[in-house]
Amino acid sequence: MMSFKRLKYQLLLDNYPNCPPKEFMEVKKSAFRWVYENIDNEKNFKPLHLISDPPPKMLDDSDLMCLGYGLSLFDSFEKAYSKYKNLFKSKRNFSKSVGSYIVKIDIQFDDGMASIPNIQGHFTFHEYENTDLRSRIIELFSIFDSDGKFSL
Amino acid sequence: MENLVYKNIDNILRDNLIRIGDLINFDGPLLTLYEDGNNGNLYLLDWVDNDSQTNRWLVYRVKSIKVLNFLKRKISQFELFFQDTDPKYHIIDIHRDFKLKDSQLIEIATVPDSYTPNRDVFFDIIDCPSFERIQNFILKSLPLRTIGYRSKKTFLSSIKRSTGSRYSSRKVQYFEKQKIQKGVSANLIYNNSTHQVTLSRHLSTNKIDIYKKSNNHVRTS
Repeated sequence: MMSFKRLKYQLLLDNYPNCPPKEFMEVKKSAFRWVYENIDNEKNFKPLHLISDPPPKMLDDSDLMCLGYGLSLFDSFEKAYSKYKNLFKSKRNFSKSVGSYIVKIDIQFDDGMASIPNIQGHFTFHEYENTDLRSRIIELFSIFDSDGKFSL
Repeated sequence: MENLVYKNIDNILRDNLIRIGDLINFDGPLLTLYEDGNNGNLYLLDWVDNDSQTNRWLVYRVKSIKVLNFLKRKISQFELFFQDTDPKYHIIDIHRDFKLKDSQLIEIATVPDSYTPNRDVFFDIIDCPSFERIQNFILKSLPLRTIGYRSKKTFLSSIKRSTGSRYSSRKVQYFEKQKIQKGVSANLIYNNSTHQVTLSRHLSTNKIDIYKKSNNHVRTS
């Protein structure tokens, strides 16, 4: 299902050709995202390129891209957890950038447009201008237990 | 961020770095391959830390064969990072609104544990947006490679396919029987429009190594 509604960061996306790509579509599904414990933290549902603390990881201008103005989501809890755990193994300070919780959200057709998930269950989501994904939160899971170890 | 003991600034190296591609990119470059345009040495920029203002990358030299083995999942990221002889590591702290070329590349005395990759982390092609570019670059940068053949029969068949010449089989057999004098090495080279195959006899072991190079890029068996 396609729509001509305005995307939240349309002005910024217009700086890139084919952004978002034509294969992005409206979807209705559960999705999972890495977030900080405080659900009202503005970084939780802000695209990477628009977060200044910490700043986005950029070596040069080629790291500025269309994807950076979308939200990273996963199509299952297991895949979100597994990817986090794998990245944490090689980048132990990784959690500083993305938080240490996984939130489950219930995306509706009129929330925005999504890419097709890859084999890791990861997809990019561009919100429509009036979307507030905090209103779609179903559940919040802690990735670590009280001892600081992975909870699963 | 971790407190570090700094040694020397090396902005000459920084200025010569040419980006090849990201071995790992997830929400930004996490492990990126660079070439020193001055001498062809390869370096990895390995994201390790950040704070409210800055991202930090660990920078270390790496051999092309190690990168290839990492791409083939033969070695872990730890083995890519580990330097057994004369280890040297730099960091580069890139502040918000700045880029690599604006930042200082500084050698550090020791690498904190939290910056050391885990030993069981291996390459995942899904996280590598530049796989073909990196692989082609690495293959072109390798010296002629030794490729093993299971048997002389297989090798001779391969030569025949490469050169289209049955005569070359006899040449190989003759080459094998030749006596090698000390201080002399012997090479036998086959060329056709697509490949160059070199047989090289070792002085001490009399063993024959076989090198095969595409005229466009290096191939492995």
